[in-house]
Amino acid sequence: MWGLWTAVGLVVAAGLGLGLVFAAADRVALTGAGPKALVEPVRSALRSLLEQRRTTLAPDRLLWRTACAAVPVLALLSMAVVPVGDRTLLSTSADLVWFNAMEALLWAAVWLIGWGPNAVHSLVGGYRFLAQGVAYELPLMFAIITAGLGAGSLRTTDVVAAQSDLWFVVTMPVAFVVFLGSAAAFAFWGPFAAPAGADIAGGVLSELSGVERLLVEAGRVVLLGASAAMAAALFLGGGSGPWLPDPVWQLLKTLLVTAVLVGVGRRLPVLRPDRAVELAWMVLVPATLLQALVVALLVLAGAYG
Amino acid sequence: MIAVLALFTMASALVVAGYGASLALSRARRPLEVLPFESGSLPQQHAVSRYHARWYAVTVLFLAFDMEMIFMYPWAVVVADLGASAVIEMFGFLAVLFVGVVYVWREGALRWT
Amino acid sequence: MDLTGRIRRWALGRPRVLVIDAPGGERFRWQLEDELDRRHWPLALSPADTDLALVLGRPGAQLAAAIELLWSQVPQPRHRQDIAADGDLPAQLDAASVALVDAANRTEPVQPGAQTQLGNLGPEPDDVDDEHAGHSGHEGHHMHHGGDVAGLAMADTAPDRDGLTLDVLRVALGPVLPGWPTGLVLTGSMQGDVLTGVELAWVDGSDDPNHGVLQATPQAVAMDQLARILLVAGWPTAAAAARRARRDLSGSHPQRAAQTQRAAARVASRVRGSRALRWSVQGIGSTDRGMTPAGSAHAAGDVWGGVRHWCDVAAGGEPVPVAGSPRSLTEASILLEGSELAAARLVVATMDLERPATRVETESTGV
Repeated sequence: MWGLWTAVGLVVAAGLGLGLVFAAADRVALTGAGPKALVEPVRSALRSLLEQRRTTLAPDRLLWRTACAAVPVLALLSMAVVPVGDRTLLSTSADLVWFNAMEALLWAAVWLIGWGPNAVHSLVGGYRFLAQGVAYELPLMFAIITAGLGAGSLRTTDVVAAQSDLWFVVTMPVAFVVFLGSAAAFAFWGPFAAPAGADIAGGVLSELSGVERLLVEAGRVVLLGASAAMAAALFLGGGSGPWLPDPVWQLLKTLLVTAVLVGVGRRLPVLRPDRAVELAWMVLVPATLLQALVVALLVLAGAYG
Repeated sequence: MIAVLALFTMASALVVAGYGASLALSRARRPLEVLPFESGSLPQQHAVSRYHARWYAVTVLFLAFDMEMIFMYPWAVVVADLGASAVIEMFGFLAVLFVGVVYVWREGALRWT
Repeated sequence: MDLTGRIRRWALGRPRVLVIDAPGGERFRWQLEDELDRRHWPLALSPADTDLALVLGRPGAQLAAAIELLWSQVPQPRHRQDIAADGDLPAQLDAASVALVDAANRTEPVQPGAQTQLGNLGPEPDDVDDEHAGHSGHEGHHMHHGGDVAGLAMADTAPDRDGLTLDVLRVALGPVLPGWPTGLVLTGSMQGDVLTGVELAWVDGSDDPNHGVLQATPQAVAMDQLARILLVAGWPTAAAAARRARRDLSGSHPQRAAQTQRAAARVASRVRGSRALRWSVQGIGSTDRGMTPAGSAHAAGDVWGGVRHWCDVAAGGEPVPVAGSPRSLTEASILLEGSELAAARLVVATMDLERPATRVETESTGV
């Protein structure tokens, strides 16, 4: 029993740690303030904790508050199938489906955060999130399936093991990029931040203060951190690497993915959801399908052992 | 499964701890009751309305494809065993679906602004 | 000092600032934003996000009412301060920061509930029009199908552009919104996020002569506009770079002039060269959408055209009027009719509107 709780605690700590790292890197990229900005996420969190909560006129209180709490809970639940060390907390024949399902539940959560406060900017933000969702969700699913296809299994540890000869990123570059882009979109961050855009005064976040804002912000960065770790596991060979022990490699790769994601994401303006939908369906869906086809043919040719 | 329940419990406990810390640290115990933000103007109506999502056609297209995806997860696992026929059938099916996407695109449903 | 006091002080060390500026205070707003950037105090996007509310210039009655409403929406700990143009800016910000920490160690009296505020802050009975049917004495008004809930009407219904009967929501944008032109107020209806019945107006300006004079080159003004466009377009890092360039352009360092110009040109070429931005905003606000009446004065010019124009001027090019960009509020409201919210925000951010009378001297000194 204690073993279980230790493992769970480890996973939660890893999720929070990765989220903190992502938030810190993001703050450095955003303000250009240098390493001093690394403590800013902690300061922001404390500030939120001592801030008063808010409620609006005639809100949908139950759904609003539940949705705020759901964001970090879902992000941490997605950590269940992310390798910490050399194993995952949950190891089933459908790990990848679990990861995707937790992200998909965020649709409901974020839309409800937009709906809850009965405020116009917030509402527009919630619907922007959904419009964006119908754009990236399919390419993301194709990308995840491509990784499973290469390994012939949907178990995360199997996918990692299948890359002992060749990292999947070599044969699946499109899937890798789409996976990271979709993670940013699920967290409505960077070029996909339209649901929380400055043009709608922060959108879904515009009526949140105090601990509720902290929960949502924390959920976003934990999800991004978890996705970076998952990307390292699915496409960059997980913990495999010379000289250093596996967990160290896993961590280094995750940090590298985080750095690249922040670096690229903060270099771009917001991509408007209404235009992204057309691009996603006419370019990304065919591209990820072709990617899946190439991998399927490689599987038939026995390229993945 | 127990592990997932434990994880859920701990995540929920963290949320409760957050509320607890907020109660301990913030001076104002009761949430502030405000009018919704409308950039400095008084709201004239409740914002919760039947929002006209003009991209509803895309959601239907999305549903059709999403259902298909459910088949693709198990398919990915058995491709190596079933061989070429599995690949041909799946991508033939996807090609048919994609013809539908192209039709929808030509009808202009992927663009609404 | 006890532990929680210390925690509070540290946590509020980088307060989020809601800048509320009265018309005519541009140059001063720039100085404030530069100082905030230097201290890494982030700008708040909404009252919920705000610790410090800083008021620049002398607000007229309209803006003062908006400030009261916004202030009622800011959660504790909070501090509001009028920032004087002739004072020492860093000292005033230091004082505001100290006052915020003091506020965090106090408990404010409980504010009246939202429904009460609606009655208190709402219009006087003789101003009551159809939209405020909930006000006393006007119950059972015929306009609203849904009736009143919690003192506020439900959305109306009206046919949309496809002929479907759908909800329309009366909304207002401005005067206080990130990246929004100082003192502008947009009222209209929204179906989904499509704006119709758009009306634009300026809030009453400050009559303080100190605020009227914008001693800045057209280049610096263009850089300011660019910073605002980039904020609205969701590109915070580029917006920060534009603000830095604006600071250098409006400063007086003759020995660093060449360096300043190079930096400004770099910002402009980074924005101009962004394919992602072009893809995102091209075609928005184009006047050939079939929405404008035939023979309208302005030709097809979109947001991307506006961005390029401001980039040219910001890089040191000749200031010429934006091709096809509306100058008057009437023209602008025609252009905004039927556009979706995100597009309208971008169009407004790109426009070079003629200001009301109190700000005429601002314009004349700018050119």
